[in-house]
Amino acid sequence: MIRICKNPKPPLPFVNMSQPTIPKVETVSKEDNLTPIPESIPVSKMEVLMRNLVGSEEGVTPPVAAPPATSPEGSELTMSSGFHVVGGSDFGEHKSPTSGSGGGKLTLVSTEWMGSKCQGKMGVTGERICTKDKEVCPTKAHQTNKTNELVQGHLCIPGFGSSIFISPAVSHKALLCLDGLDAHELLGQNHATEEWIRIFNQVVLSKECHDIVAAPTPKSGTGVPSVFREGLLPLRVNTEFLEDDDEEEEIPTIGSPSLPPDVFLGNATAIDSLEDGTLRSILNDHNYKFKQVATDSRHLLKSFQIQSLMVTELRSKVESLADNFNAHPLVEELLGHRPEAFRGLSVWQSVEAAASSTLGESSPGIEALAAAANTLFGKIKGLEAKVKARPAPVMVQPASHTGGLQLETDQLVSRLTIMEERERQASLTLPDTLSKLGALERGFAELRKQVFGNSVFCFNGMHFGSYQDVLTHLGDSLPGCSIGWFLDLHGALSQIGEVFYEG
Amino acid sequence: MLHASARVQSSALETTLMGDMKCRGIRYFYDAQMGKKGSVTPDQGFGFRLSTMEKFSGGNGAPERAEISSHVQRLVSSIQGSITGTDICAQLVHNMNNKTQSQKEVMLPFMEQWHGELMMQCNCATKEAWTFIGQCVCAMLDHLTPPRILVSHYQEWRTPENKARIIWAMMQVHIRMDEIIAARFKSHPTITTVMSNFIMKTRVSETVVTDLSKKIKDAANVSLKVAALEAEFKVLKASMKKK
Repeated sequence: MIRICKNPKPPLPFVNMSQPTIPKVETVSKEDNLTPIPESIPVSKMEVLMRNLVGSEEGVTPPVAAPPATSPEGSELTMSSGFHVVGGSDFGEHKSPTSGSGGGKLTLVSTEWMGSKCQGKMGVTGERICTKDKEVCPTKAHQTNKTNELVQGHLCIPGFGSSIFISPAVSHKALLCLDGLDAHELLGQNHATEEWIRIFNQVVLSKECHDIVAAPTPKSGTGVPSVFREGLLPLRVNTEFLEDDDEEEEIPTIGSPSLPPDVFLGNATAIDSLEDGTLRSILNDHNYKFKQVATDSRHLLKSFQIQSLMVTELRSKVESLADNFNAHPLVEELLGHRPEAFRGLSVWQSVEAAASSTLGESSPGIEALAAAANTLFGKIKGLEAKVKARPAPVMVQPASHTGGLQLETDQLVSRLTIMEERERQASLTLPDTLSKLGALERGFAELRKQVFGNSVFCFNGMHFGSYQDVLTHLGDSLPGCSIGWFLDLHGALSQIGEVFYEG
Repeated sequence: MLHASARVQSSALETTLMGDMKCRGIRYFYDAQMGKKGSVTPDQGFGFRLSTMEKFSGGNGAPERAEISSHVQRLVSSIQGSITGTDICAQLVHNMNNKTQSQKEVMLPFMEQWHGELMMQCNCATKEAWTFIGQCVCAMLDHLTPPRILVSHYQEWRTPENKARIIWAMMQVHIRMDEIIAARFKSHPTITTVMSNFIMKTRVSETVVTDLSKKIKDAANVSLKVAALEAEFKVLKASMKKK
C-alpha cells in the first residue's frame, strides 16, 4: 500500500518540523499491494532532473548520484517528484533505502571536508561513503575505491556509522535562500536517515523551493548542464498531462485502493477515473508539475539551440572582423593615405571630385593635340601629291676617266689582297699538307703490301707489285734499257752451256 | 742466234732470254744423254751431268757445282758489261743480277748439305738421296716457270709496256725464289709435296713385310731340314763304310 502525502501549496512549515501540515513521505510495507513502476519511465533520470533543478541556482552541475533503483530487500522505489523511502512496515517508521541506515546531523560537503575525509565507497552499490579521517580509516579498500560523486556545497544525509549517503543531497545555498527555513538550525538537528529524507522531500516539493530553484532561463546561466541535457533528452513526457491543466487538484485519501498503472504514467483518463478526489488532485498536481518541467526543458533546449546559433554567428563575425583588421594595413598600403583635400569626403565622392578636376584640366590639351595632328596629316598629303606630280629622276653614272682608273685599281688591290691571303693560308697549311701526303704514301705502300701479300719486289725503296708499277717507277728509263739485261735464277741456269753462236 | 738477233734488230741477250722463256726445265740439269735432246723423267732426278753426288761435288774430276757457278758468273758479267747508263733501270738490273748470284750461292750449297743430312740422319743411300734432291730441285724450278711462260709469247719486246711485263715476270721469279729460300727449301709447299710423294712411292708396304716374314719362317725350317739331311748323310756314309 502506498501513501503519498503531498501538499499542493506548502506553507513552508520547516520552522517546526512537527507540524501536521508538513507533507510526509510515508513508507508502506512490503506486503502491501504496491504497483510497480513502469519500466518505460526512467526513475533515475527523474531524480537527476530534480537534483539539477535543486542545484541549478548555483550554476553548478551536480553529478549524477542516482540511488539504487531497487532496494536490496525486494522493496521498490515508487515514482514521485520527491524522495521516497521504501521499507518499514508501519507508518512513521523510516528506514534507510539501504542497509546503511543510521542517523545524525547533515554533512556539508566542502573542500576542506573532502580533503580530510576518506570518501571510500561503502555499501553494495556504493551509495554511501566513509567519513572517517584519511589517517584513521583502516579499510584498505577505501584507498583505491573512492567516490567522485560528491558535490561541494551540498548537504548529505548521515548514514550508518561513520558514513553519509551520496544521494539525496540538497544545495546548502538553495536552503539559505528559502524563506521561513533556518538552514543553520537545520544543520544542527539530529534525525534518522529516513527523517532526513522526508525533510528533503518537503523542501524539494515546496512551491517556494521550486520557484527559487526553477529552471534557469537562457539568460540566467552560461548554459544547460550537460548532465541535465543528457537526462532530459531521453525523458519522455506524456503530453496528455497538458490537457489536464485546468483540472482541479484533489488530495488523495490515504488508504485508497490500489491505483492502476496508467495513473503513474500521467494518463488523465485514468486519473479522472479515480474515485478518491484527494488522490486525483494530487496526481493532477504531479501531472502539472511534470508538464511544467517538460515545457521548461523544451524551452531550455530551444534556447540552447538559439544560443548555439548566436554563438556561431558571433564567432563568424569575429572572424570577419579579424580578417578586416588584418587586411586594413594592406589596403592602407595599397591606397595610401587620404589627402587633406578629400578629408571629410567618402571614397566615391573623392573619386568623383578628382575625376572632374582632371577632365577639366586635360580637355584643352587634347583639343590642341588633335588640331596639331590634323595639320600634320594635311602637310603629309600635300607632300605626297607633290611627289606624284614630279617626273621620275634619271640615274646618272659617274663614268669619268679618273673614276674608272680608280675603280680598276681598287679591284686589283682587292684581288691582290685576296691572293696574298690565300698564299698566307697556303704557307700556313703547306707543312701539314706535306706531312699528310707523306703519311698517305706510306699508308698506301703498306696497303699495297697487304693487298699483294708477299708478291712485292722491293728495290731502292720502291715497291713493284704489278707491271704498272714497273712502268711507273722506271718511267723514262725503261725505253733505253734492254730486257736482255734482266736476269733471274731460272733464266741464268737455262743459259748454262749454251753458246751464242750455236745454231 | 746472233745473226737472227741482228736480223730482228734485237740483242743476243734479249733473244736468248726470250728463247728460254718457254723452257720448262733446265737442260744442263736434266739432259738424259750427252749430245741428245731430251730430259729425264721427274722421278729419275738429275740428268747425266749430275747423275751422282760425286759429279756434283767433284769426287771424280771437276765438280759440276763449280761449273754451274762459273757459268752463272760469266753470264752475269756479260750482262753487266752490256749495261749502259746509270739510270734506275741499270740500277735495277744490277740488283737483279746480284740477287740471281746470291740465290745460286744459296741453292747449290743447300743441295750438297741436304744430301748429307739424308744420308746421315735418314739412313738414305746416296743414290736415293740424290735422286730425291733432283726431284725437289726440278719441282722448285718448275715453281719458278709460270711467270716466265706468261710473257714467253711476246714477239715485240721493245715497247715499254711489254718491257714492263717481261721485267715484272722476272721480278716474280725472284719473289718466288726468295720465298723458297725464306722457307729453307724443306718447308716450302713445293718441296713438301715432292717429299710426300717420294715417301709414298718408296714406302715398305704391309704385304712386303708379310712376305718377308714368311720367307724368314721358311729359312728357319731349312736348318731343320739341313740337320735331317746331315743325319741321313751320316747314315748313308756309315752304310757305305760297312759295305
